[in-house]
Amino acid sequence: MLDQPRAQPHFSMLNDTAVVLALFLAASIGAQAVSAAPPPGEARAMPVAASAPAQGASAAERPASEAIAPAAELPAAPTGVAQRVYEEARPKLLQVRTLLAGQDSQSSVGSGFLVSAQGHLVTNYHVVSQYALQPQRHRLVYASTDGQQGALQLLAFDVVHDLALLKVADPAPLGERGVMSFRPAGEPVARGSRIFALGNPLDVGFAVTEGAYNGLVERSFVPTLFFGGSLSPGMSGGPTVDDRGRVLGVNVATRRDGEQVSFLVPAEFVVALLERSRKAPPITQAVYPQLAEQLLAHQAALTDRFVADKWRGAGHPRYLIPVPQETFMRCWGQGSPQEARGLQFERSDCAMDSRVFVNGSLLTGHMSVRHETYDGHKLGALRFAERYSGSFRNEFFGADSAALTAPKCHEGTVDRQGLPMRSVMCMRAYKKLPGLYTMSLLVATLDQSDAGALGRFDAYGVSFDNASRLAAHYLDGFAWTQPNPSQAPVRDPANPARLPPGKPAPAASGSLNQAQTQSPPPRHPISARRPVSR
Amino acid sequence: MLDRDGRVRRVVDVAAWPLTMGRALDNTIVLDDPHVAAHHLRLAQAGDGGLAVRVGDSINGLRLDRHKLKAGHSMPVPAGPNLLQIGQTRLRLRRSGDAIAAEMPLRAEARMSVTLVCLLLLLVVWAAQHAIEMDPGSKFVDWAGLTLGVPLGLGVWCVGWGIASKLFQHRFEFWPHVGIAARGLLAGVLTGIVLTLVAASLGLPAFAHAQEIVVPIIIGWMIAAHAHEALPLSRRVVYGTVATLTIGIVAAGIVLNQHRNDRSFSELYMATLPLPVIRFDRGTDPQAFVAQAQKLRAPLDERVREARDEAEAGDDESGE
Repeated sequence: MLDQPRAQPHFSMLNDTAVVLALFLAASIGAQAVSAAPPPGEARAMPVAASAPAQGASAAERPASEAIAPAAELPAAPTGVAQRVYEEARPKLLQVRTLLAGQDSQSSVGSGFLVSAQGHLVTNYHVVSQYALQPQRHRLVYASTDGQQGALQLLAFDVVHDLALLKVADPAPLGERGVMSFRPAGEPVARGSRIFALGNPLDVGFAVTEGAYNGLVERSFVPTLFFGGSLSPGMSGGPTVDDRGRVLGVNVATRRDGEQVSFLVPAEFVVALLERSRKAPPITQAVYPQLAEQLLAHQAALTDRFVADKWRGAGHPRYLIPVPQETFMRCWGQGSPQEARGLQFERSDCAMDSRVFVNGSLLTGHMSVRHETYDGHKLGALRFAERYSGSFRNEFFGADSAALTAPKCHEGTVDRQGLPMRSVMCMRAYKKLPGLYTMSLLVATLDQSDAGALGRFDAYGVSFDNASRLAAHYLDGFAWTQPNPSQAPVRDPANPARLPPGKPAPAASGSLNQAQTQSPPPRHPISARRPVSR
Repeated sequence: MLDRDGRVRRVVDVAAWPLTMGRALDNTIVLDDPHVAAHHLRLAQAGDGGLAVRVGDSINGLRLDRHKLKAGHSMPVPAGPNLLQIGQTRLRLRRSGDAIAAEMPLRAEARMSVTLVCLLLLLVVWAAQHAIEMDPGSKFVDWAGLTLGVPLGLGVWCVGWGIASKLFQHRFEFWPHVGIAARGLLAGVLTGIVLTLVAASLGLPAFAHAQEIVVPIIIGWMIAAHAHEALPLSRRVVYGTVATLTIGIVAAGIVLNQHRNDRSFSELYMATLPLPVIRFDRGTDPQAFVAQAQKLRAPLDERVREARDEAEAGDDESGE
């Protein structure tokens, strides 16, 4: 059990009890299988879903045992701060429950906090996503720390930052409780400051969790705060406050392959949402049109930034292979053992950590780029062609699902300034988010008889025009390393331009080394390093 | 008098008309068949010199060629030879004036040398494919599957058809079936390879897709040939049946693919990459390629509309 989280990494949202968490994990992994087309390593991480309830249960127990350690190490003062912070925030904390319309069973629970005297409260979008997508089948209620209960209305949401603005239908029973204040944007938090996450973990009871402020998550397209503390399901949507009780972020997610690596939505987006939608009418219809609108804006910004970045090379001696800048993507490398008698390969796998949660089975608004370079000089042309074709064949583009259509593909040979490449571009449309598509572009170089490079680019949740832009951008990333090596003897068995066997390409080696030093490779080295889902 | 396979079991020469048949011992020809009446029929010379049949007191009547006659009915016997069915007994009626069907040629014996060459080629092709799939320096045991599996599989297949021959034709045929299997499999395997290579070489996925139709047809032809070798039915019946089945299976595959994957063929895209030596597809520039992909948009949007209409219909139903 101890090894499992390390070997099977995943982010998780924090809205629910263990059972709902299990549903979410299973669903998010399902979404990967369907829409993310996982490479083999990722697929191996899937069985996590089955053990998720057990992990959830252990997560519930862990804080109790761990609470002893900080208490023993730290002096009394911080504990006193936590006590004061909790006392101040207690009346303004609420639990947000999604109930099935016809009965009182809760299908999801999270936390929230009051931000206006009129009864506005903030939580995560993913806490109320079931209501937002099927308002006829669900209803929202709150429960306060002193046992008050009442109905909630959904006013607005920000799916990209995973925020929702709700309002208490009848503010009278809550009385004068005051509101949570926000830490001013002009007052930066020092890295390492003690901050306090509040919420109702696993529906066990309202709680405060201490942790360290660690600044923004690096290489995240959507700005996210790194909270060095434990967040558990059910705390989603709760506030994280500084030592004076001012909100600096909203609890949103945690990494289950690490320890105390959790994430917050920065308060500025909460303030913006509140300003924007304070007077919005309650939402009573499924929010797909608004979702599509927000996701379209998100993909426009993401595409613009992605296309503006120049590709960096993969360090291949013969080809320029497009590898994204690691501004908001993270790349992992892997190579075949040097003594392998068959096909030798090196792969690089770049993906975005930030993905937009739409519902339990749909994550979108992200991209991934990967490539494999093959060296088959130990095999000969025929055997290489067989392996290379096999690798080209062994790509999955998804199938018809509830969220997405079956893929439609365009294929052909592309001539990139003399470099011939077999290319397959597959598109799928989101059935309920009109105007959004998923694009996958698979490319294989065709100029050598015993070596080649296979690349794949996936963009999830983009407009058709941006899909075309991104596809063209990716294809343009391929080229010869020299101006015109097509004159060079291509089928010469002693071709000097061939990738030296076993020697890592320079660009890939950085991330490869990083990966090796970062975590001990257990049985599944790749899946151990790759974050699977948020 | 014919047996169950249509061969002559007993010949009765007719010296004079009339002739009677039935179970009673006073008939000219006594038939020991429980479905035959005591005096079932009478064949006699008619006024015009021809022959006429008259059915006796029978509940089952009889069948003469394609005509069905009931008790008491009679009709002139058409020009022969005629097939007469009485109860469960079948007889052929031949008269001296009847035309004789032309001599049927013996079925051309499959040439053993061609069979052996086909077998050898098949083994060579499979061995080459296997060798390509193995990494260099493979062990001897890696070949066991091929060297044992192919003869065994082929043997079992042909013995199965041989038993069918024994069942329907009373003789065990093995080598003719080996000949058919070797030719059919070789044709199927080679067609697959050629189509794949042509598709990859010219960059035309249609050839790769064609495999999914052409190869089943070749296999269908092979099975029809086996069946024709084993069954004493007419060529047309056997080949027609197998052709219908093959078309049905191929069509069902396409329909299933359409339903499940929204495309006709199982391959989403042509996966075989050509070696530079055989690549004759010059290719387009990236911009043109991406521009061509615009054609995907309309069908995808159409699917989205369909999904939305379905969802709305579902909502209406659940709302009621």
